[in-house]
Amino acid sequence: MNGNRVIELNKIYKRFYEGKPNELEILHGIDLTVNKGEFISIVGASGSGKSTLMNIIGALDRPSDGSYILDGVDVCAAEDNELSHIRNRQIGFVFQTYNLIPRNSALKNVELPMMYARLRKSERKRKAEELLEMVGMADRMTHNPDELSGGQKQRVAIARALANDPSIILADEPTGALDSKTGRMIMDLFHKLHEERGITIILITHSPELAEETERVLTLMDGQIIGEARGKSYDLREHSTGTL
Amino acid sequence: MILENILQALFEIKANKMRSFLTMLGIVIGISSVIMIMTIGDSINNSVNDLLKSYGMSPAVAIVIQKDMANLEDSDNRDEYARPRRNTDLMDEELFKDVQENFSDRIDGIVLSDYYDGMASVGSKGDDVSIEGFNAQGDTKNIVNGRSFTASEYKDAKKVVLISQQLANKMFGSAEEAVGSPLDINLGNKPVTFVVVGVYGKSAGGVMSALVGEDNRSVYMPLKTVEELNLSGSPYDVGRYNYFMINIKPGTDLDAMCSDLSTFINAKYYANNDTYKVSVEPTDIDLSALTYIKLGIAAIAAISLLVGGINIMNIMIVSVTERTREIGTRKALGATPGEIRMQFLLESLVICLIGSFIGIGLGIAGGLGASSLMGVRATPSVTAIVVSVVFSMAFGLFFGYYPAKKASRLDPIEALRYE
Repeated sequence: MNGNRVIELNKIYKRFYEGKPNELEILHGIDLTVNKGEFISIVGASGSGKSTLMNIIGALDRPSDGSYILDGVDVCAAEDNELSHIRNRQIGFVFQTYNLIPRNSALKNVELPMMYARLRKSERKRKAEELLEMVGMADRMTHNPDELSGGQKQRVAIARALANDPSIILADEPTGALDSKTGRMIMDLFHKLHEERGITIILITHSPELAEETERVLTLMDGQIIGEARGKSYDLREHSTGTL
Repeated sequence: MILENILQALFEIKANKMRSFLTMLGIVIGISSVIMIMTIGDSINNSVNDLLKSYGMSPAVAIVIQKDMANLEDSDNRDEYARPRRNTDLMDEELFKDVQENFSDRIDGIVLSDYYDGMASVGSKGDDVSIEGFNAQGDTKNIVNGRSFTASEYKDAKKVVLISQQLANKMFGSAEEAVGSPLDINLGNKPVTFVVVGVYGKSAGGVMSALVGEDNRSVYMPLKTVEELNLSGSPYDVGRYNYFMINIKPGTDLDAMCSDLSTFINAKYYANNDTYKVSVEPTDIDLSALTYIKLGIAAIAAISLLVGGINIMNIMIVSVTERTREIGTRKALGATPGEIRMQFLLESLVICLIGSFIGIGLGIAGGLGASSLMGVRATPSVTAIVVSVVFSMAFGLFFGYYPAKKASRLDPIEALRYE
């Protein structure tokens, strides 16, 4: 069972302004396990601490207490440069605001993580083309972000997140800026990636409906996980490829 | 990786053409002005040298001076005046022949010149001219029409002259018409007829000639001709000289030759002279002032380079701030602080290099253009170019460092939240 765990969070605490009069504890002892190939979601309202938790899972921040093992790597013990490597190789971010690099083509955007991973140019290009094809953006590879719609940008972002074959995809409100139809398309894409390629996905969202689509729903409130349940609509999915 | 970054930097620069251009403007202006000034300065230097050469300014001069000149500087000895020069104190043909024979391996030629002592004029209106004579080895005029003097004309003190283009145009209508025509010169009210054998043009000095006041009122003739004209005026015999200029063969050690020649002449001809001796000195045209002026102006221009560098730093800081989100994203994707720093440092380096290349191009073009306008021979200074490139790279690194460091230190979480 251990070899199957991709994320192991143990007694995670996060405090800000430590030692100061305005010291603030946001996370109070989070335990969280994610297995390989799982599609889980973390639901919480604003102020629940889900951004803080996401930053820790994404190795953007270190916990004040507790341990975090990511695919066998002890994240807490890593120095700054190592954290960068961990993010580069093991984590694929998808943001609500896409965060594509402007003035660069979709292709270059998808190549970026691979460039930091020191892959050769030809290798990068090949892989990037493949990924863009997979998310249905093959015909827009040379477009710049300002020439793409929201849904298209998010698809490019997803391709980018997959560039270095990460251990997990961390998606923070990925449909937050999209209309319902486009949002549906993106969620379908996540499902397809999960079903066809067994990718581990962690969805952060404030929407319970979206959360119910995932295998496992973790409810976060006031810095603690108050509930864990199977996604109600997960089993109802036909597991078809859906429309893209 | 560095190559990648350079390509990325070029990409960013191209994507933001206006901003990149404004960023490098200071460097472009600074470097182009420095190069232009250095080029013009070098060109002027060359032209002064050319001019002096054309004026027959030989590298060394031998001159009759009083022995113990140093003592006369003393206030105590001021009352002691040396006896005036006599013919026997001056140098003559025999001495020259002797010198040329004994120093033939080092001396290329001995230049003798003399001026006509009285007033001279030409034409009905009595335009003043100055008459100068030189020997064959002192013949360095730039003949544009006709020819210079022949050996027999030098030897026989023929009444032949070289006149300027301006004088030729004035007296004869054109240089072509002047050659071969007779010219009456009033020497102390008495007209003497000469034949114009050649017309001289501007020497190689271009604008420098104008500045030095190259005289188109000069009329040149063989040395002996002037000497015979001076018969009544000069206190000394024909064929006696106070000084002569020395042209040396290439590769000769100037100081050694001067010293050897001095010893030779004094031992043989002035050993028994109670008052006078001959001193042989390098003419040492001191052009260092020109160099200092050139460097001084270039240094002032270089101040604009400093401003250019500060400008780069400013705009890079703005760029970093504007790209905060992007930096956050890159860090989230796995860029280390070092890689971010490298990215921005290379951007500022590339901007500086491009700016310096443009500046060098403009500077050379401007320098060559200005030089040709002034009529001087132009040589772009290779030193200035190399120094400019090195400096601009150093500037790029120095002024780009702070913004790059700032970028690398951004907290990814904060940066990703930046609006």
